[in-house]
Amino acid sequence: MALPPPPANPGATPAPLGRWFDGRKAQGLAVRLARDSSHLLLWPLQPPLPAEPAGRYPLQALTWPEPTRHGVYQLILPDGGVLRLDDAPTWDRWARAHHLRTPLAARWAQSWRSSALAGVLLVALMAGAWRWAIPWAAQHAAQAMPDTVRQTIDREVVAEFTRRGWLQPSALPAEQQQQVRDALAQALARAYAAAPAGPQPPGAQAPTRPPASSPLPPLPRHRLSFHRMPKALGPNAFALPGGQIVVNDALVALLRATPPATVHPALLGVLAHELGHVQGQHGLQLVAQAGAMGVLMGWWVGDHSAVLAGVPTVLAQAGYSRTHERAADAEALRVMQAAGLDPTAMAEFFRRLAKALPERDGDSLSLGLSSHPADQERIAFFERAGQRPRP
Amino acid sequence: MGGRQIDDTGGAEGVAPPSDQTKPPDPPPLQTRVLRPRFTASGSEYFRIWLVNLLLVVATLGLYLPFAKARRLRYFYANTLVGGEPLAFHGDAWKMLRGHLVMLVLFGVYAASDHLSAWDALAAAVALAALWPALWRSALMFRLANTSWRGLRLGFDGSLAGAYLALLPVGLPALALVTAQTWGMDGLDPADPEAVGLGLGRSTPYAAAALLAGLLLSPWALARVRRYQHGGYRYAGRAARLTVDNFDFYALAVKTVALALAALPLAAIPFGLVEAAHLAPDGLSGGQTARKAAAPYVMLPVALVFWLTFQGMAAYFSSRLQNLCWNHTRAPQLQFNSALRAGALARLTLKNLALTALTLGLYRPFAVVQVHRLRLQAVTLQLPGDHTHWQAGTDVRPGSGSGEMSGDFFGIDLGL
Repeated sequence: MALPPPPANPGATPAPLGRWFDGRKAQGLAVRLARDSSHLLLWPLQPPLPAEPAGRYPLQALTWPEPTRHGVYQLILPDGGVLRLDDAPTWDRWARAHHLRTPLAARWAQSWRSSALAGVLLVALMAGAWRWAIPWAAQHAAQAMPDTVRQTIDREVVAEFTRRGWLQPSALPAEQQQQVRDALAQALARAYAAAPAGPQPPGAQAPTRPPASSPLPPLPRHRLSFHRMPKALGPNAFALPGGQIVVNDALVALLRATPPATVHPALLGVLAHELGHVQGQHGLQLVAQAGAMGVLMGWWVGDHSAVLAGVPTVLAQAGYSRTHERAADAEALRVMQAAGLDPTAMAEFFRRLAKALPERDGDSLSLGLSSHPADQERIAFFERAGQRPRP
Repeated sequence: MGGRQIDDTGGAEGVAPPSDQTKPPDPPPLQTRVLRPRFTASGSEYFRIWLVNLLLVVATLGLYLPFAKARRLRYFYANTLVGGEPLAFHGDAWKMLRGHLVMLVLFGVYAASDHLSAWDALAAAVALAALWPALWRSALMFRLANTSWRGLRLGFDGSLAGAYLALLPVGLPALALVTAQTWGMDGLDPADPEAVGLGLGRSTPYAAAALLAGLLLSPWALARVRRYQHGGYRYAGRAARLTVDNFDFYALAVKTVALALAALPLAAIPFGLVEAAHLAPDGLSGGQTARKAAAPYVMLPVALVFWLTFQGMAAYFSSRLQNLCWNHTRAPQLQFNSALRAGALARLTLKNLALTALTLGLYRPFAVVQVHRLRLQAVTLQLPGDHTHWQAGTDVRPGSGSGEMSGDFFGIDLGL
């Protein structure tokens, strides 16, 4: 960068005065500032006036003073010394007359208007990150995560929930559990294969490839287990990143089918919905987003207010889940339709759920049925699908 | 106290009008001067610097952080006047960026190791802990060596071995605690609740012993850390030292705990009131659900009160710690005095917390400036009148930038 030349009439603006500390003595030298084409010159004030300036520094090597009203303007010199300016306005006028520009970041903070602009830009940037960048990055991070790590997460979460007493051994008879597993395997086999492959072996877990022409992702690895949960959690089901799907006895009881030997289609719908969460890796995205948000909020609110930092993160998470719930609902609908099940059964499920848990948004597992979109919206979604002719 | 004058407006020397070109007469060397630092930063000014910094940090995904930090330090130093002369920060932000990247890689590797087996994670933690004292020392050296007053650099001259010895009483119990937990779960499946119970059962006595040892040793550990830190400070070839007994640190810890115990019953009063208010309608309606629904509303004020009590205790402890350390820090011809009042710091902390919460964090830069002013202006320096003729020592050597960013976790107080 070429430096602007000194002005034609250098005497028009008074030269700034300062005290020059050379880094070796505590006693500073009073100096008057001047410049030639590329250097800052320091002339001692005290007579006799020497032939050479006492100090000579390349203008580009100076560290600019941080603008301050009450503090002191200082030029940090490249040789370890420092030049303390006596009077900030004189320096400002002189630097302007000599076309020496304060660095952008420092000039930016000088006026309230440009600072407010920085605030607006910051909010816009954060909103953009929140809406697009963080989900994008989180999704890629989640997809790139090796399967062993996901399995580890599943094990740890199940262990933690067990420790907290949220997961207890199921009271359902083994044959009923197997019945649900078989029905799910069958429905998934139809949804993920071009032609129904007939009954799958019980507990089929191997990823099934869809036909090459289909844009379908492969059926994610999954494992279904049944547990009893504390009453407060109500009928509940959740999925973990490694494919562990947990459904509780209360939910199975809620969706008791009318001929007792069959499986309620809505139960399969709920399981397919949870599988949708596994497929979209929504759980890991939540964790990644919460982490990114936590870092941002921690910086914003500051070190000593971890409590405050946690609140917005949690609030924000609810908004995220809704997008994910809709995606999972779409997967549930797709599986149900492919398996020849009636999607309106899901509407019946929501109605039963509302009756079973009048105040559902209280305590609930955050991975489970809380923070879902409004029931009405979801009932309408499945009922509309039920009225349309099947693809 | 004859011959001593308090100077908190700034020395006449250096702000002399340009017409006065005669050299001021040197003060007699034996006349002691007492300088009270002044902190002239304004919250509104720092707010704008903070906002622009925040934007640039977010926009560059954190790469601007060292530059933001250098700007903040330059602003704070330019507003820290000791005897009318400001501090100056000479740190090169590009060098700090290198240190920042090194720290990022280090913590990235450490965070990634968390996904490995428990013993590998332990090995990573040990490796980081083994590196930590060296980083800490490097941070102290960098910060001090890049700070000057009257053109003369401050310095830090603590030895590497000293850094390790100083942090040993913190590191050993922590290491024992982590090892006990890892050993407890060794070979057990963390998904099996019975195994978890077994693992906790066999490691808990050792973990508890390590924790207790760490707690009992902590005042001593703090004393060692502070003695190392203050004992390494240099200015103009003068070496500082901190002469405090371990006993004083234990006394401070005991007083803080005693105060906390005395304050807890007071803090429990609102809890009792809220609980009583919720019990009363229960008796009438017998509604168990109403009480359960109110549970979060009971817990919130209680948690808040306990948290505020904790903040008050922290203010008491940190103000007394500042006084204890600086009142006993001496260098040849140089001594300090700190009279920070705990009540003032506690009141300011609580006010700042409330306003920061109300403004969703926007008040934070104002809070930082005010706390810094309160802490700094509680200190005075006592030094001979001829300090203006001191010369730089021979030990001028800037540290490396990589320690500087890690050093922020420790927070070198006062920047002196």
